Order: sequence, then structure tokens, then C-alpha cells
Amino acid sequence: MSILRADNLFVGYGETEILHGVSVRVEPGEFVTIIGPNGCGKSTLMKAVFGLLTPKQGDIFFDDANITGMPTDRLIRMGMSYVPQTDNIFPSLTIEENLEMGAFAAGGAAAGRISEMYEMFPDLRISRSRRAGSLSGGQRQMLAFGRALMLQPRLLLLDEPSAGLSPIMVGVIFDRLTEIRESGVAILVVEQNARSALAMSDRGYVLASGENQIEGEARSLLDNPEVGRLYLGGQADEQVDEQADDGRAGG
Amino acid sequence: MATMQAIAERARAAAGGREAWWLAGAIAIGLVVTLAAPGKVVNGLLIGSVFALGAIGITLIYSILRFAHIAHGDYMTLGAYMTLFLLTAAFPMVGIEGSGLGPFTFGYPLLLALPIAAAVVIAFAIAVDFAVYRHLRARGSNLVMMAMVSLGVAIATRGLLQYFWGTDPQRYPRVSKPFYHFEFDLPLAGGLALPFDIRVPPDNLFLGIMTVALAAGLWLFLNKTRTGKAMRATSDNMELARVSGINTTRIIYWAWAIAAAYAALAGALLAVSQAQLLPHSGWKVLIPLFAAVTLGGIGNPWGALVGGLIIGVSMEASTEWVSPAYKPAIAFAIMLGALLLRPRGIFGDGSS
Repeated sequence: MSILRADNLFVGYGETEILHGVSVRVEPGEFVTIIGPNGCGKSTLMKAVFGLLTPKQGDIFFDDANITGMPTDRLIRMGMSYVPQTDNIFPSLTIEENLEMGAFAAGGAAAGRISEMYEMFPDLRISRSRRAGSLSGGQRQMLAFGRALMLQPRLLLLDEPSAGLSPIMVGVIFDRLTEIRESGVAILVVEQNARSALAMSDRGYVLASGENQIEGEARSLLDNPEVGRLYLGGQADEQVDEQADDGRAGG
Repeated sequence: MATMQAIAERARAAAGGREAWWLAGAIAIGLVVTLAAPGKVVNGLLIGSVFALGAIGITLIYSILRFAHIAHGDYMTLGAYMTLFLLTAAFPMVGIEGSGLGPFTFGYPLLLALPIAAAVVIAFAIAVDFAVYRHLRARGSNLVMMAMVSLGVAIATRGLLQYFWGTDPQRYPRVSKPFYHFEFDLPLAGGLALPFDIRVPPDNLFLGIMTVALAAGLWLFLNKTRTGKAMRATSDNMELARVSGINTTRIIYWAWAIAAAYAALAGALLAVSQAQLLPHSGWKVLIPLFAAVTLGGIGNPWGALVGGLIIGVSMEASTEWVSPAYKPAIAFAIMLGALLLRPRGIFGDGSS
């Protein structure tokens, strides 16, 4: 049984339709990456899955429950969590308060869970009573992960976790993702840094023009010459990084 | 520990920069003005407390809903007229009457009327949001549109009050108490006497203490309660608040409730301090209110408190040298000065 299944989604903003029949699926504990050019609808797909946009057509299932159009706080209590690409922390709140907000949907202060987060991200403990707005880009991303993990989700949705980070920080973030995945959390991630993301994934999807193009094992996508040429920037990793840079404004 | 460090860092940064000179200058001007016109400074603190209570509401609505709530002055007036209704019509019917509580010019019925008036204005504010602002939000209206609509709400609210009470000045039951002639046994009952022959009347003391308590109460709510923290989170980033499972609609109604309650108190106390009430009483203090919000740093409740007091004192003290007709101009001049010299306000940190 898949933990997440989105069938034939049609999603848009007002009159503009972005997704024209996209389907994805995530198995429990699986790491799935979605890649594709700018404006292909990757972020829209994430928002639709997390109930921030209502699909015009198509259904989304979490476990076996149909969650299409369900309010976000219920999805959080069911075990789903989402980290947006930008503005994913509360800058004027302290680090500790940011983590508390991650547990808001469950109603508890979750003090024990906060100290678990500090163990997972030691940087955060040091500056726990500082305002989150003073954190560096990498620390912000850690805090955003921490907030999203507060209620021990079974599925984590990540929109471009490496956007805007230095190459060293991207490595650190990806290591964290591997750890999170090893703790049993299923991850669905949208990434511009396609080659590195696929390298740690189980499966991947290529999305273009709001439609599924290619899907399969991550290894087979990496080896697919067409995917390599069109979406992984040939063999040059620098080119991939450049694409990531270009992608920041869009998404 | 880290907070202490942060405070120390800020203090050091401030001491090294121009801010120390600004602060010293402000204190010097304050001292000179206080010595030149002590009675007016005391009166200014009274009206400043009223401005502060109103400004706190405007700043709160701005920080959650991101628009300038122009109807706020008229929400104050509504609170004042509800208090009037309770004091002159509703309470006497059930036998609650009396004026001149202890050293104060008002009676104990006022203290009963304030929470009821606040509840009515809360209900009114939430009803208006439900009927008007909610639909504009759903449509994604911009802040100019929202502010213009709130201007319409302001005019409609005033019209409603004029319909019931007419345009003549109204008064609360009060007894005048020349405080400095009274000899009470209670401490502070005759007001507070300070050096340099500065005397603070009991009404002013009551209002000042109440304003500081309400500001402190709001601070505790925003920083120590779950809903308060969620409110700050919503102010920071409404989309992320929703993503975290915070019911932002509920937070919006909380913001209206607090802003409306403080507005009702501000309106009633404005009527107490001015000893009369007109349908445009609240509308007329809108410029000082926005000046207080701007000066303190928009979105910051402490800023609204300090801004309100500074504006109140400046306006009252100015009458020592210029005609009282220029009081709104003084408020406006301070607002312009704040926008030119320090647009983020005294307490603003540039994040909002």
C-alpha cells in the first residue's frame, strides 16, 4: 500500500492550469525525487498534495484515505509535513518558538520532541533563544526541517531544500535528508540539484509542461541519456548548479 | 543567557552609533518641556495613554492583516457610546448608579460598563470582518483596497452612531474633583505629588496604570501563550503558519477581538478625559493614532505604547507655545519626521 498516491491531478491558479494530469506515488519509507525544468509545475504539485491548492480533477490518497481538499491541519495530524522552498521559518520568533509552531496542530508543547530536534540539529540548540531571522541559510534550512519533523511525520514533502545554499551546505543538507530517511520517514522532494538528489533517491519522476514525462528507478533515470541531456545538464555538475541558481526566482 | 548577550550587543551597538545621541536629545527635550509645562505634560500622558490603547489595536491589525485600519477611531467612538448607553440608560434601569468613585471623577458603573462595551465592539468588529473584509481577503484584495473599504466602514459606523444619538455632545455622569484640595487618607488618593510642583490627578494615574497593564498583558499573551505565539507566527508569515497547521482564520478573529477591546476602552477613556463625547471624537484622533503607530514602529505593541505617550505629551505640551488648534499638526509633523529620519520607528527592526 502506498503512503501517498496522487492520481491524474489537474491543478491551477484561477483560469491558468499548471498540472494536466500528473500522477505520483510514494511507498512507506521511500525517497522519491521529482525533477524537471522551471515552471513545469513541481511546486504546484507539492502544494496540491499538501492541501494548499485544490485540484480541479483527480484524487490524492494518504494511506488509503482520500485527502483531496482536506484542510492542512488535518493532514499534519495524519502524518504529513511540508517544507516550502522559501520563507520556511518564522524570522521574528525564536528558534525554540519555531519548533513549537511545528507541533501546533497537535495542541501540545512537545518539549521532549524539541530536545530530540536539538540532538538531530545541534546548531539549533546553541542559539535556541535567538530570533530565527539571525540564522544563516543552512541553519534556516535545518530549522525548517526541525519544524516539519516535530510531529514525527511519516511523509515529508520538501520543495527545493538546496535552493540558495553554498555547495558545502548542500552536501550537509543532503546528508541530513539521508539520516531523516533512514529514521523511517518517507520523503518526496522537488529538486533543481537533480543529479545529487537522484543519487540518494529510490525512484524519480521527470515532470515537464505539467505532465509526467518519465518515471522509474533513480538509477535508471541517472543512466537515461535523454534525461541526462535534457534535465541533468549533460555530465557537467557545474551546469546543474547553474540551473539551480536560475531556478531560485521561479519554482 | 543568549538573550542577555543579544541585549548587551544591542546596547553596545546603540552606544557607539547615532542612537545614543538621539536618545540623549530626546531625554533632554523631554526634561525641558516637563519643567516648562508640567501640568500639560501630565495631561499629555493622559491623552497619550488613550492614543496608546488605540494604536496598539491598529498595529496589531496591521501586523496580521497588513492594512491600515482607518475605521479604528470610529470603533473607539462606538465603544464610548456603548459605555454612554450603559451608564445613562441600561444601568439606571437595573439600579446601578453612582458617580465619583473615591478620588476619581467617574463612578464604579464605568468600571462595570467598560468590559461590556468592549464585548460589544468585539462582536461588531468580528461581524464587520465576517460581512466585509473576509470577502476581500478571499478575493486577494490589496492593502490600498482594504484601507479604502475600512474608510467606508468608518463612515458607516459613525453614521450608525449619529442615527441613535444625534450629533450633540454627550457626557458621562461625572463629578468634578479639584484633586489638589482634597485630603484623603488613602495613599495617592489626592493624586501623586512630584517634585517641581508636578501633580498627577487620580484619573490620570488610573488611566496610566491601566494602559501599562493592558500593554504588558498583551506582551505576555503574545510571548507566553500558544495562541499568542501563533499570532506572532501568522504576522511573520501567514502562508507558513497555515503550513504549520495554525488556523489563521481563528488568529485573524483573535486579532480583531484584542484590537476592538482595546479600542472600546480607549474610546470610553477618551470621553472621560475630554469630559464629552461626539460622533467624530474617535475619527479626530486618527492622525495621532497613526503617528503613534509610525513613531513606535508598525507591528510592535511596545512601540505603539511609547509612540502614543510621546505623541500625547508633544501635542499637549505644544499648547504652551502655540495655539491648541495646531495639535493635530504637531502629531502629523512628528509622523513625517519619524518617516524621514527613522522609517522603521523607534522599536522597528526592519523585519516587517
